[in-house]
Amino acid sequence: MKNAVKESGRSEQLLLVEDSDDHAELTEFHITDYSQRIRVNRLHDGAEAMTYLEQVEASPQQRLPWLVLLDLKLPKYDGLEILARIKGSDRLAGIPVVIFSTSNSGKDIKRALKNYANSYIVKPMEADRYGEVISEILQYWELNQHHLVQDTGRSDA
Amino acid sequence: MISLLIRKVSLKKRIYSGYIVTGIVAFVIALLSYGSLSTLVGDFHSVVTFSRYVEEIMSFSAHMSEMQRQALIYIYSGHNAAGDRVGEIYVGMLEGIGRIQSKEKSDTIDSIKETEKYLHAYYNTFQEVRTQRKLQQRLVRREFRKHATKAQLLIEERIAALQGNDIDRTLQYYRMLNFLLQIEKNAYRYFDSLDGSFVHAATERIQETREVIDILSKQPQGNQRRLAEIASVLTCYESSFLEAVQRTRGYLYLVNVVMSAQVYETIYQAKRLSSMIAGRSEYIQERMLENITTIFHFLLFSAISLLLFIGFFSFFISRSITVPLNRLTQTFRRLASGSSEAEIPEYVLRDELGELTIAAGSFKQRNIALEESRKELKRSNEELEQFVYTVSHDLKSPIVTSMGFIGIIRKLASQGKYEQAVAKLDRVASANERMSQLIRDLLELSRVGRMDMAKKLLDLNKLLSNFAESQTIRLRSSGFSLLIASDLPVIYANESRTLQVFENILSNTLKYAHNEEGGMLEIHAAGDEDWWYIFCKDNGPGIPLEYHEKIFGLFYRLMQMPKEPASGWLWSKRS
Repeated sequence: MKNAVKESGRSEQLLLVEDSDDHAELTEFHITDYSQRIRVNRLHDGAEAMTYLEQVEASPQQRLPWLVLLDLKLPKYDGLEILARIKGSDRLAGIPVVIFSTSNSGKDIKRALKNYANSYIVKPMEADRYGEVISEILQYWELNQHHLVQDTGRSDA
Repeated sequence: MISLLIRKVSLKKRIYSGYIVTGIVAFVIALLSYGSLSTLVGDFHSVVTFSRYVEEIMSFSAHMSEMQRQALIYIYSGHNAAGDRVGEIYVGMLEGIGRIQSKEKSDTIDSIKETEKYLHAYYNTFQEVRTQRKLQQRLVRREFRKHATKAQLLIEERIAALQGNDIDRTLQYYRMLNFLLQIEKNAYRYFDSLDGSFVHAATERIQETREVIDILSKQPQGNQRRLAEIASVLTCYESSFLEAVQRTRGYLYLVNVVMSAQVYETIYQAKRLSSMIAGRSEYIQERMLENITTIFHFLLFSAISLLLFIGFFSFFISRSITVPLNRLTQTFRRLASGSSEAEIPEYVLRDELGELTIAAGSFKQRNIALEESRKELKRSNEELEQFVYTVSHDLKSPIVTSMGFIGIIRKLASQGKYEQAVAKLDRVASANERMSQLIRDLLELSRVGRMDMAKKLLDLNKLLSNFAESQTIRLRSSGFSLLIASDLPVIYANESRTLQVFENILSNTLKYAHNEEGGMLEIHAAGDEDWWYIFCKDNGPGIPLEYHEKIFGLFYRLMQMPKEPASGWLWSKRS
């Protein structure tokens, strides 16, 4: 199956906000397994994410992340705060944010969708599902053409 | 005054005082009208008495007439019973006058005395008449009779002396005898009938007798001496007759003129008296009528004002009851709807309404308590929800990890990368270990939740010095120092949970508050009017201000530090 990232030959940046090292390792493993071109930028907690986002927002030359995988339960700022920060910003709002959390509580899902989360995926608890879920997420967002418009500065570079 | 009454006096007393005041007013009115009524009754008695007097006085005239009639009967017929009757009537009248006199006042007393005087005079005259009549009777019955008999005897003697020899003279003597009889007859007729003509006839007969004596004495053969004797007897006879006539005329005069005049005078006085009394009774009757009108007006006025007063009073009393009652009803209605903000009306008296107000107050207290416990319940529900949420997340997280790594291991194994696969097994083990640790922590938490909550007075100085002693080895091994102020308060709390708080704080400090100069935990206290504040201060990195609320969430942590049971924070807040 052909996809945008593979075809373009360019590497895309994926922002992984995840406090648990184990989960981050799992996710990174499967992403790398899926495609070498996707570069994972891992942030350990809410504060780190906020700093990074502010920095990206402030410098128009910098490339925006292609996709954000956001955990909800984070130290300092939680996932919803970061989501609100992204979707509340003119420049960042176009970045697709996939909430990737262990929580399947309706309250969390509802709040995330209200804050314009693009997807809400629950971390799977089955032995072989984790990799499948990651690759399905990536496949879907590769089909999506958001990368063509979300970052005008990049296409000129 | 009424507002004072309403504000200061209890309900029952208020109603009673209303009754009492009304009763007093009614009693005063009754008393006043009793005074007026008794005057009226007095007046009425006077009128009755007056009318009795008038009646009595009017009866005087009737009595007087009766007296006069009886007197006349007595005079003409000589019946003693009639005379006695006059006396009886007189005594009766005197008694009547005495009765009036004993009760009468000055203005009529003269008249009464006058009446009495005339009555006296009348009766005295009547006594005089009785005496005169007795004398006359005696004269007629004795003197007159005696002289008549004497003259008769003398003449019969002369007739016997003549022995029928001298017919002419005997005849003359018989004429004289006849005249004598006629005189006597006329005289008695006069005394019987009191007809003046009989007196005249009697005196004529006497004159004729005298003439016969003259004729006889002129005859030579007449006995001059005897004739003179007859003549003198005749003269005596005549004089006694005339005296009797005189007396008869005297008492007739007394009866017909003097006594009649006295009767009229008495009757006149009685009439005057009765008219005077009638005048007075008329005055009293007028006064009575006036009094009756006054009393009527007074009673009407009093009744109306009493009615108004009672109305006014009951209006105020009922208002003083219904107004707070309505307010209380409003309050209770709001309280019944579960409101804890219903305003309790101000009502200071400890009466029935006061009790009700207090009841409303406790109702409100109960509502407040209910609301509090509802809030508490809601809070604990939220907490429970949060707890379940957190627990489920924290339990799921290692499962995701271990399952994820098992997936990777399988994948690596299928690719023949056995060494790498085996290396990943540690990750699975550590994730499972973390999960079992979490389960142990949860069990501990539930044990603490069920722990004895009994509170007692705790001297924190003692508690913390014991605590510091027990932690000496742990502190020394990690190079920490524990500074505890010496002026900690005595608080009311559960001992083991309080101790748990300090243990958790210390273990958190040991975990997070790393400092190159050596860690330190300082505990001291300060208090205001209501609360004691226990301050725990370490020299670690601290927690930024923006996270201060967040850190009290269950299992919340700011730093990456696996195997950390952060439950201590929960206890810190709740204790």
